Amino acid sequence: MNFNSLQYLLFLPITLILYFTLPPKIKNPLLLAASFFFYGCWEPAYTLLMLFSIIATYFCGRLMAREEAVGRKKLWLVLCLVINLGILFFFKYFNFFTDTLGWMVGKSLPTLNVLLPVGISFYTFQALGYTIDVYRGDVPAERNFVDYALFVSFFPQLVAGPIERTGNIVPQLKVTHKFSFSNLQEGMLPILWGLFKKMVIADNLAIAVNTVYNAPNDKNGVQLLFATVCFAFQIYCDFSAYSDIARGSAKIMGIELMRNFDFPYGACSIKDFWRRWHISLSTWFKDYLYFPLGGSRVKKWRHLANLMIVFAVSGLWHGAAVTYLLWGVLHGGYQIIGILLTPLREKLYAKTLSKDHPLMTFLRWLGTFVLVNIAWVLFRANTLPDAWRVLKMIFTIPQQSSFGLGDLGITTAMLIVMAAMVLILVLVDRCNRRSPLAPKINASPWLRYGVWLALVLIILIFGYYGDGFDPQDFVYFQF
Amino acid sequence: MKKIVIEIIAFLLALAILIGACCYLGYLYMPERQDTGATWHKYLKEPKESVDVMFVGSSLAYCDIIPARIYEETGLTSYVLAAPYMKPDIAYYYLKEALRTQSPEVVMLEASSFFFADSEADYYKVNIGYMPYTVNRLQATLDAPAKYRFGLLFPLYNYHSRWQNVHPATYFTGRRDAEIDLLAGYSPLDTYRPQEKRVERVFPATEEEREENLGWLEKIKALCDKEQITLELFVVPSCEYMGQTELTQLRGAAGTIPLHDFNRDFEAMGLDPARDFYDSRHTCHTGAEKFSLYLSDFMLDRYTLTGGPHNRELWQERVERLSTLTTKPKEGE
Repeated sequence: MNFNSLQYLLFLPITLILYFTLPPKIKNPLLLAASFFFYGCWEPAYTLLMLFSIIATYFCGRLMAREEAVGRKKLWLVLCLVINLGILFFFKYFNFFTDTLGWMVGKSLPTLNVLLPVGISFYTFQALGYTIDVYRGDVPAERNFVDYALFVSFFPQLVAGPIERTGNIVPQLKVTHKFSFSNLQEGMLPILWGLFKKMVIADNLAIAVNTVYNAPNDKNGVQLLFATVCFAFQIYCDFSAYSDIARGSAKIMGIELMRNFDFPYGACSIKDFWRRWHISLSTWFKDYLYFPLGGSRVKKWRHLANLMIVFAVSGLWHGAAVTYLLWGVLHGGYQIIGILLTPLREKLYAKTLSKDHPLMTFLRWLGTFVLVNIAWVLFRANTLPDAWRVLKMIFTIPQQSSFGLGDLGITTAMLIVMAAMVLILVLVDRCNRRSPLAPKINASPWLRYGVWLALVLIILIFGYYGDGFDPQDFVYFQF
Repeated sequence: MKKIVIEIIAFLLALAILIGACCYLGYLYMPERQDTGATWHKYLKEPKESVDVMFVGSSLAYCDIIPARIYEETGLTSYVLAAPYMKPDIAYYYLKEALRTQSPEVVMLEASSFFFADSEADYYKVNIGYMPYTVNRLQATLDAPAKYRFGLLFPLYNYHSRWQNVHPATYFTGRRDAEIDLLAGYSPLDTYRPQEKRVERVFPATEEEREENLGWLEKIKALCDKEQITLELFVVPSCEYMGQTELTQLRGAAGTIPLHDFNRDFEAMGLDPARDFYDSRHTCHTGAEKFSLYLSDFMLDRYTLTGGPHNRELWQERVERLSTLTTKPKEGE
């Protein structure tokens, strides 16, 4: 069940009505049942897989809490990590592993014909985060199985995050939430904004991106460059839309989810970009991988190696393919080069314009945007040779004979509308970063309903939906 | 209290604008339909209570029957109320809706539709989508397969991507008003494709689908009885003729309703498979002329219709319009 489907349009209100009308004791079991139903709409059998992961992490957490000896605690932790990462490996990485091994030994090894469970990386990481927190003593082991199961499977953020922390969600699940009109207002705006980003921008840009990237050999450099920039906005709108709708849906129930994006394309460095992009995953890796590896409080080479490890793993987290791995490695490389060049940059700032000068800020922003887009080529390309061709064509545009945008699968009128929508998106993101717009919009009923009305009409007219269209999966579902 | 009132007013106002905008945009974005059936906006321009004979059916009706020719030969006014692959359930609602403005003496229902399979008759979006917004449309929508219902209730869902086809000025002026159909529901096909031989048509409908389709005949009969209209079934002449199995099934379900299989008179009409057919099922314009002439004689022989009052100027204009259509269709590929 996609957020941009008619089913969700029915599912959410029915769940909300039941949630607010049922007695407090039944609220969480209801949400748990709703979450399993929501997940089961993709592949019912995989609810059992999620249930297994929940049971394994729940009992490991309980057993760790009972153990006094660090060694035995560690044993339960390792067991839990092995079980969960084993499941993740089996479903997500087994074929990649055997393909790579086969390539190395020059033999074709058998692969599995299994469907990747939707959102497996998200709920596995959320459950593992809990287990590590319990091991470290940061949070107590959850006694109530229903509350714990709901924490892992809470439907708004189940299949594409944000990857929540125990300390944020579980206490909220312990509180009885009554219907609040202000929560409804505050939840509706991100839901509509998310639907706008997904259905109007992401899914329409996807047509142009897919047209170009699915046949890169027939395209010129300008088309490939254009499609790459379109993909930057497609993936941002697609993914952040899911987070927005998730936050909005949870907010109506009175539950606050963490913010997952903060105007990432306004970043002026790669480090800054990762503070704003998929924040819940970045912080997860920081807390559960980067810091345990020693973070930056080690020798410089080790610090740089830690960075590379984290970004390589982050790349693999996104998908079992060399392109994702290289995407992560490239971002790690950006960070390492950034650190190594820091003295040179400081000298440059001292001799020319200061770091915060508008021109320098613009150049830093432009450089970051270009670097992020180069990396997106690896992320989006269907194969590594495709990615190489795209990059080669983009960087040799001046030497090419063909410059036109040609047929991108969408009309000129739609391209103009998309440009306007992306402009609106950037302006809203920029304003939101300076000072959140939602409280101002929600303060006046005229403005609030005016904005809702405008968003709904824009979605209804320009959105990608309706007869002959399938609700497009969110890109991050595959991760 | 004042705050709550303002809240309610603002919400209701936004809701009213949204509903109004959705209805208007849904209407604006629907493609104009000029021919090939389901041309309800044109049918509703027909002078009230002016049609003597109503032909109902699928493309086999709107491609094969020329009301202007029948008028010229018999003085009877007729109209082809048809739609692509129209199944009997839709035919029932079409007829019910059509009888709101017309009181024909005879309804002639093309009977091939009783053997249309659900898989091929996938035209609910067009066939119901162009009906006027009445209880009949609502009932037809609710009877349609579930996957079509939302789009039929909410046309913007089906047609929103057509914003690119609408001129900005149209948002203020609205769509141009429909004109009366000078061909009275007939859709001429101006190319022919030589047919090598005549074969029995294979209808893919399952037994359950046939049973369900034939079940609607009782409803159509009851409607005609209630309105004191003579109902007759007919099968158009075709290079894919209806086989005995279907004819027997039809006769069994029709009971006392007369059934005319015009395939028996194929040669008598002078139809030429090499020149008079657009494809193996539909006649091209010359074929439609031959069939309509034959149908005119048939109607004169069979009925003692007096012919109700009608707009003679309009029908004369229709005859003149017919004469402008090419009598020599070109050969298609």
